Amino acid sequence: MILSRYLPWVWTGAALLAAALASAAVGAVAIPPGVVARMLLDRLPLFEIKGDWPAAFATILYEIRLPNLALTALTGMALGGSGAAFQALFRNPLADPYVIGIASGAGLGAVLAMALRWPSNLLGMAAVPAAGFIGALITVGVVYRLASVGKTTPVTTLILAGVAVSSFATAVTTLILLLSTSELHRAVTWMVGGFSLGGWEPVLASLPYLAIALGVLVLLGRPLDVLQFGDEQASQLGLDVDRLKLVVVITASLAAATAVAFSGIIAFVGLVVPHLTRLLWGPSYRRLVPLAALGGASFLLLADIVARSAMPPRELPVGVVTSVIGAPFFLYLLARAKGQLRAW
Amino acid sequence: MIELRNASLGYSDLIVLQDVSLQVEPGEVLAVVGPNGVGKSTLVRVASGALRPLSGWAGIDGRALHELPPAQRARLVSVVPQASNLPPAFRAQDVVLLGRTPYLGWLSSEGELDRRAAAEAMERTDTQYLADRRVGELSGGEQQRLLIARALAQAAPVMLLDEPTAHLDLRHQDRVLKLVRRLVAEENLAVLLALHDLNLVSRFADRVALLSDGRVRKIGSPQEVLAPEELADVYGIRIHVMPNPLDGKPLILPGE
Amino acid sequence: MKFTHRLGKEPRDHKAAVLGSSNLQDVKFVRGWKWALSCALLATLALVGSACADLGELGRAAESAPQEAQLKWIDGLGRQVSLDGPAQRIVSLAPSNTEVLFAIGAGPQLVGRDELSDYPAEAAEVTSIGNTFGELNTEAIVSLQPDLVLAADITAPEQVAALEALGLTIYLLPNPVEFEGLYANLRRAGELTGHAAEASELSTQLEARVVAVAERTGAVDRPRVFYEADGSDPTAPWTTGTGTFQTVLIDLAGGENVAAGLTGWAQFSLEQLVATDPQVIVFASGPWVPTTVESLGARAGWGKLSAVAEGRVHPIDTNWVDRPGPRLVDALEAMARFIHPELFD
Repeated sequence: MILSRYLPWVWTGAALLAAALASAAVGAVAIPPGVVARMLLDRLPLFEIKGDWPAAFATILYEIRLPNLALTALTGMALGGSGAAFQALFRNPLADPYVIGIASGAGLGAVLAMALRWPSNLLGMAAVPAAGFIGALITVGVVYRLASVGKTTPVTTLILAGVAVSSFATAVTTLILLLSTSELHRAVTWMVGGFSLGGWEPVLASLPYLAIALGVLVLLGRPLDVLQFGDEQASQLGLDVDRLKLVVVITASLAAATAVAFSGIIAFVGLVVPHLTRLLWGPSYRRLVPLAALGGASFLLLADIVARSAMPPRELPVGVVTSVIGAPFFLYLLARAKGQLRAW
Repeated sequence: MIELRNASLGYSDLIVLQDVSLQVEPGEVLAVVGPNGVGKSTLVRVASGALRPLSGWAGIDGRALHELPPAQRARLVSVVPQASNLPPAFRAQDVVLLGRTPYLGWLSSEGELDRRAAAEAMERTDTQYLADRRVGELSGGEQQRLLIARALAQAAPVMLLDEPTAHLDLRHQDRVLKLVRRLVAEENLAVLLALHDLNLVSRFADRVALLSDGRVRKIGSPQEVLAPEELADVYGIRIHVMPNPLDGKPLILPGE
Repeated sequence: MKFTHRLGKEPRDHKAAVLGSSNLQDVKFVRGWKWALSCALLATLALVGSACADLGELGRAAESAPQEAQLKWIDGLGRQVSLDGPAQRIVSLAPSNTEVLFAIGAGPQLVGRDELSDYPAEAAEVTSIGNTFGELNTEAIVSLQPDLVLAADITAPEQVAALEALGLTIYLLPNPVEFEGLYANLRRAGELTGHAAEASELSTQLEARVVAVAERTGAVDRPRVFYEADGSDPTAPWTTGTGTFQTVLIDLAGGENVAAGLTGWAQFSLEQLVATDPQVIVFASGPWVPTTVESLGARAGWGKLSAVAEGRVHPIDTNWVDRPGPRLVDALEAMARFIHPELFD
């Protein structure tokens, strides 16, 4: 029984490690796994290994693959964790991180920045991700305000407001793109999977937001469980429901917005991974949020590997791969749970 | 002691009950009865603090319910809702453990004390054999007893029950209400019970509040309130009331 | 209260509850594993952090000996680019760059190209580095060890920055707005690759052809011309207005772009088309474009246009017109034939 308590963590941790190592080993250039392992060990403090590999390998592993691996894992964590949080908030299996306008808001912000040609002036390469991030948060704020009825925010109005505002933001984005067709190429690139901005800057920039947002969400597992019984019962059990919802919306949006800012709009991770985690390890959000976060990292790393190796030398947009894997997988999950909703 | 004073109850666009004044003392069961839709559930909501009275006062031990922080309120008032739409995948013992929420902050986990309280609650409601089963697999009666266990784990001096026998068969109706009476005796609870079955009310309630036409029509003992003239007027059909041969309490029979 | 007494705890106030269980040992245990997890996480982050702390040096190590680079230029983004000598290993990120390089004789120096580079035929033999639309395969580019990466306006600034961060030298050839810009690009490409003489000669030849067209169309009547860039929506075809090279082509070929009032790429409504009634219609054509002369003429409402009625609808290879390379001159000559058949051939 003690073992069964830690089993989910063991499996999830092992999966993540395997996915990470695979991600470091796969790419356009074939670097033998043994060399990869030695190169990684050499980088850790206290280890000093004779470097007998070509300089190109070093550049590729340290400057291309490792930062990409780190950013992909962080993005997957953000999407998995915030996906679980939104499913808890809405008590709805179809909820994902984008349901209250994060994707459309980020798209609007990013496209606006591109249309205004920001990287040439302010903020350098951080302009587009920053604009996307701010766009996402502003949109969520608007949706939340629109959906609030007095002091409470019923989840149905939240979803409706999210749908409406998202449509509006998407329409405006399309309009801006039509007026600045020169940015079309760049805009689509960003939307299907962000830019491989490369380097550690995106990783370091995302880290504080994700650490805080996911950290809080992981700790809110128990209140999220209580929330599953409905607003009224949760309130009768002593939970400050409105305050909890506000905190969850803020932190989950922060995590998702950070992910979208650097990696574009990646679908299905926030939807499928919490479901899969729930099927495997049960519905309690105390475990679900952290496990879905780690699972999201593994899932996205896997999708990234496929994106980089399916049609070489083409790099498929990772959002396309997650949809291609995610959609049939989701249908499979639906078929399994059909009629019973046992896992919910 | 939980009390409503001249309270108007309803929602932003609809007043359901007006000028409601009632109180429930520790150690007694007050049943609230009336036709469908008269506002029994609304009354329970207001008494739990989930809904604020449109006017008037609703409070416990002299303190207004809406002024209490949710956690504190939940330590004073527990609610047993109807057993419907419970998340089916939760395990029974986790559900009961959630009753300890008012004593835990957002960030803490249950301690030994909380686990013992939950275990004890399950023992007394005879639900400990359900501990590892999933809520979705339980029968209506078992789910209802589980919710009572949860409320018990809350260890609040006031317990509100909203139609706890709604979907239960004869045997379970009996069991559930006998359990409530036992808890009232053992813990000196103040219980407000919304019930539609008048015969159950007659057997298990100390006092009855009859709701009709948006008001509390009468409050008193079952003998006083469950009188044929009152009931015929409220329910619109002929009622016969006779003493129950087994315990002498009023037995209500709809008649022609 | 009997109830609370039975369970052995006192009713607590709100603040006390926030601290969790009243049993202190439970608090320690509960907090214990969470702290352990946080510490493990921090330790991992510290390890990773120290590992990447000195990674910044790696890319810069290549610049250890700052010798004076011999050749310096300013590229289309205003960046200073320097090479020690003519580039010998070039990766082209746009089909137009590939065409330019082959045209000036630098084809053999090309070691990598984007997947859309299909002209001339020899380009197919150069290693493809994949798509430039979407994620750039930086690994493939780096593995070719180029000494110069030639970018174009379609390359996003973020992609340029990413390649720069990896220590590569990038030069961005901007899209020309008139033919002078094309010659400048050719000459610059010549300097970058050590083919300055061929580039200069090619520019001279191209200029002569352009002048030959421009001279003859200078003084004649200008027919109204409509250029259709994309006809997916026949009621609102995409066209090119002022500021595009297409307008320059039409102008030099002796025509008047009916869409001159618009800027850049924009949609032209069918109504406007009927109102302006172009005398010549040129539409972009290619393997993936379903439009033909017949199908265009058969579109609802298009039959009444003078151009259609008089059979002056002509396809033009979209790659001639859209790619800012030497074939722009081919496009110009074709345009001249369409617009002034009486003057040209």
